[in-house]
Amino acid sequence: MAIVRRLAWLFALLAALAADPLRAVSPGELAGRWRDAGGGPVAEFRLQPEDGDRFLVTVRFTDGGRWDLECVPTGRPGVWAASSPTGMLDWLFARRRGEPLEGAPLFWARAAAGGVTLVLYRLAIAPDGGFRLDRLALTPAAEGLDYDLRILAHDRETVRLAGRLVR
Amino acid sequence: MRRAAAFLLLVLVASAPAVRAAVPRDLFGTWVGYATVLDAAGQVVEERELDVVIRPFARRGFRIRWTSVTLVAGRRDRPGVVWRESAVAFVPARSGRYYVEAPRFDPFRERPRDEAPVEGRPLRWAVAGPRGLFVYSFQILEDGRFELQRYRRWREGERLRLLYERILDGEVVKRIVGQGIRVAD
Repeated sequence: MAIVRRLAWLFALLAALAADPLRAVSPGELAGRWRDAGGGPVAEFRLQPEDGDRFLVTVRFTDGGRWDLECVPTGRPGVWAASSPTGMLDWLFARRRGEPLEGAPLFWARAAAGGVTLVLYRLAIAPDGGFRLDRLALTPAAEGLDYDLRILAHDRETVRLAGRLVR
Repeated sequence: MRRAAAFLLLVLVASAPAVRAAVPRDLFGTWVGYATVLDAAGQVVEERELDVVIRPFARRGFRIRWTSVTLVAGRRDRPGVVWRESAVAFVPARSGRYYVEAPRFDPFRERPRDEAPVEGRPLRWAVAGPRGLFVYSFQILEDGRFELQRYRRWREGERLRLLYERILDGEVVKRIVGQGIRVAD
């Protein structure tokens, strides 16, 4: 019996290690369009799965900010590089995508809490060197999608906001 | 043709740094002092002796070199003492209003310099202003979490004050507060 229990543990461990974090995160519970349940800083969240473990994300904030991202897998399990479309100013000033020290914000995403939570990040460095780092963690809940938004900035205390989105 | 030239001139003028980064001259010198290391709960973890040297570097940059000795029972001549040394040089960023880490010459370097930040390349920059000199080191870790190290050094009368924070995915996990006095220019 002992050997059966050990084999069961080993099987469970291997299954956990082999689990694809994207499969746990995106299509089932996070995919679709979500809107603010009332008074939170996130007005809308949209996730659309694509082929090859890629996905598209749109986040609209109540202060007018907006992220339109294409997330592609990196060589690191459960970590995605995210990029937004480049604009005329990026071309004019030869900014490289995802290089905050050249003025282009860096976006990335990761699966957390065993693949249940999706965390999106944005790091931007202003021309005067002041930075802003946004961390948005989204977790499916019984009545929607709970989120935790943390904003770190140069010479400021961290701001922490939370809210709920509904489908 | 004249309009195109005027437009080009306008773009060049607009892209030139309007305000140059302040050079932290009041921090230049050799400083010695003490620091206290605190954990996430604010409990004192260890005491250290510090040496900090801040000097000009290249034309408009600066270099910081610091050593620390972790004390054992308040002494530096006991088994278990740890000595650490680190140095980093900064040069003006493209905007001219802050500083970025100066590239280091290393013929044995294995990591390509153009590795993306999302693949783990650290970003280091510094901002000098009225509230002192802020040095940042940012890195995306293997599991996608981020680590941000924030150093603030500022003058308070004749003293140099130091505040260091290690922030792991948004949570401060370590804090160092210290102070020193200038012993040489």
